[in-house]
Amino acid sequence: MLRLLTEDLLMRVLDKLSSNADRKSWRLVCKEFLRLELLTRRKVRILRIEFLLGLLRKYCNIEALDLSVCPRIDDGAVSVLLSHGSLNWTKGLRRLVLCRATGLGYRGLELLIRACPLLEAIDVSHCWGFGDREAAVLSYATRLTELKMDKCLGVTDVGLARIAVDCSNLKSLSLKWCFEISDLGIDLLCKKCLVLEMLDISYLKLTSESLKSIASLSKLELLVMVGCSFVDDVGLRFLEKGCPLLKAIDVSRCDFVSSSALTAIVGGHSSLVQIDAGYCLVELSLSLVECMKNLKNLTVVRIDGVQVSDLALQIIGTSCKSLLEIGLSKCVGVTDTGITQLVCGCGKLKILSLTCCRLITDVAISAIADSCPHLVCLKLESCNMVTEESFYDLGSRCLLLEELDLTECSGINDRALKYLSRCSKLLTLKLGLCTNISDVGLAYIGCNFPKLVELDLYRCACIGDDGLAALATGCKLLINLNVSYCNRITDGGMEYISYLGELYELEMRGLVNITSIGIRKVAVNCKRLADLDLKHCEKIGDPGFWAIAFYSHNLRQINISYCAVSDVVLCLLMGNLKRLQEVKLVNISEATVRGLELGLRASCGRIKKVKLQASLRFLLSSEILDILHLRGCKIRWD
Amino acid sequence: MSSPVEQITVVSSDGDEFKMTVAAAMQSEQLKQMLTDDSISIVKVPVENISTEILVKVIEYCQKHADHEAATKANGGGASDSEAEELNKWDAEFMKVDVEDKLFHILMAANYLEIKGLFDLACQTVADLIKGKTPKQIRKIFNLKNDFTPEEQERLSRQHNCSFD
Repeated sequence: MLRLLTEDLLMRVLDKLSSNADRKSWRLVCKEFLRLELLTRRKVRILRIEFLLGLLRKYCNIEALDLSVCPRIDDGAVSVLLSHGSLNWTKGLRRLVLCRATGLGYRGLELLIRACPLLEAIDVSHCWGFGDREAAVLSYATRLTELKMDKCLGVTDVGLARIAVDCSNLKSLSLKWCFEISDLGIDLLCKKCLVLEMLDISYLKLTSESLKSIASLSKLELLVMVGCSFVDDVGLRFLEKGCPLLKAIDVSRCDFVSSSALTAIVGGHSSLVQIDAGYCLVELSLSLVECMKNLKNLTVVRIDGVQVSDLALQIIGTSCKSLLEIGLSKCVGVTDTGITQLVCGCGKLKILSLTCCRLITDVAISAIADSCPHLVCLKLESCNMVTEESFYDLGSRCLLLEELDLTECSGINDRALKYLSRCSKLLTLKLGLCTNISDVGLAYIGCNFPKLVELDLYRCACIGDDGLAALATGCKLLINLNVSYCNRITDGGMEYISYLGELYELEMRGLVNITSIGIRKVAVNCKRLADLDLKHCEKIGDPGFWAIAFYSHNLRQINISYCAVSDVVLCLLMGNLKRLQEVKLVNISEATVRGLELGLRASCGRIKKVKLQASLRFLLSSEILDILHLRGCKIRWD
Repeated sequence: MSSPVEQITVVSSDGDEFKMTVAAAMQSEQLKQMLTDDSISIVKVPVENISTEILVKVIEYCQKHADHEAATKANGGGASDSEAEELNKWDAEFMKVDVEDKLFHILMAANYLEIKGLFDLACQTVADLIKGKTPKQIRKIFNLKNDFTPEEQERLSRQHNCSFD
């Protein structure tokens, strides 16, 4: 064994390997490499609770632990975890991700927090059952600098007060959707957490009084207040003289905020870097645009749904030369002239969204291609006057493109994909509802985009098995594929899909020609598949679902609504797939109520979300509904 | 007080001598220490574990980067985007070595002489070599033997897909 490099040097090389796939390959090289990986791994995301203890025993140097996709995390599990084996992993833990850990309660949370003295960042978003008791427990982590409590619906001002008083070092706090929080809570927060740099109060029922308090936060850099419908211009004007370090503000969907208040804020903060004002302004007033001229560092502007004028776009184009991202999604009045003048000056532009700007034609696209060679993301959903002509320019100039959204661009055809042959960095391509795309187009995709990770072919009815063959050969890194309602696909096409070894999400609704044979191939070969949507695939029978139950160990989400699954196989599916957490079981034709109950019982404790047809509400026993609710499962009735 | 030195000589493990300008030598923390320490008047520096082949490459890197720094200073401050891009391109070409062993030797040399830029570059290049490769291919690169039993390999493989990310 010739090894030139010392352990220290190997670890430095390993540090540069960030992708999980590469780290996994490294681990399999030899025992020494495995040992090094164990020592250097800083973060781990646990997929199955069975391995939790063992993994944490081995990975004792971790700084971040992610339990958000691990089923069955509840108070009992935490108690067992913390009473067995060495607890070296708790000593250095700084970040804890528990989002959607709906089975966890305040007892388990307390055990975790008390065990990890160095905790700096906690994410408990979407633990919708969390309330003030859990908030009180969170306040025991006094070194906390980052806290995400999105959608912790039970948290009130009382809980927030505990956190504010005990965690005065908080730098980043997100309270999105915590509807019970009021002005009083925010006021206390602003008096106690003086070093707050990031605050998210989106959708809260706060009034302008809260903004008065927030204005006093002298270190605040990012304020997100999407959908704060009780705040108006008066409130926003408090910010004009406050928060001197403000760099980014998001007032999207604030119904009562107008241009003049936003102008006042922009005027008072010349260091603003990012402005989000989608769906709140009626129009992009010239006074606001004039004010934006003074923002020398302005990098991101997103003003979705606003009425704009060519003149306004021209002024932005000439004055805001440092812009990297512009969002004009669903804006009214976006014309070719406006876009041409906008991009003329913004040569550094990387991200441009023109979703639903239906007046845009090839002229604008060619102008974008000419002026923005650094373009990385271009969104043109519903721009149906754009044709393949301008894609010739796009494909010659914008070679750094990574994301392209052409959903519902009915003018796009196969040749457009041919013209993009030099855009080899493309990662995401959305062609939903592009009915002119055929297998020829898919052949171009297979040839031109070897790095493609996400492909959306929703309702591209002309594609078939041959196109999928091309994809399987050329786009081996595909993780996310949508072929819903592409009815020419048969079992042969499914075989090609099964060659995509990295496939993680597969949406194939309404494929009426697929049978068990086809789906079995995918189940066996796509070992990483986690999200499968088979709604309305009515020809798939029990053998197909049996194969899924047996082979698709990684499945986290499945939609088998309107499929023909019998009771036995349904139980097998729900019981065998240990990672399954979200299921949609609307109108399963071959299953009985009893079968469904048994299935739900088999997966109890793991399942977090289930969708069932409304008629079952009165047919399922109240016992099963109670158990599900108790274990943190949400039921949606269709 | 030693008179200012314009050049220093480094001697490879094979005994060959090479001249380096002071500016180039300052790219290495080790050599910089020796040069700035007035109590040592060293003109010939032996570097025992670096062969001639590798030393030549290392000196080339140091000289190029020293020249770049001098040019930047002359222009009064920050390097322009195009100049930085050019340097990156040069670095990329520089790291194209024919044999992987050479790459490892450069890495070790950069570590020994504490040349931060070259060290990071070499680490990144080795990492890029590994990216996207199977374990078998990685073993070939490092010339390593697979010491897992088939059962252990199977267990690890399963773990990878099933237990954590």
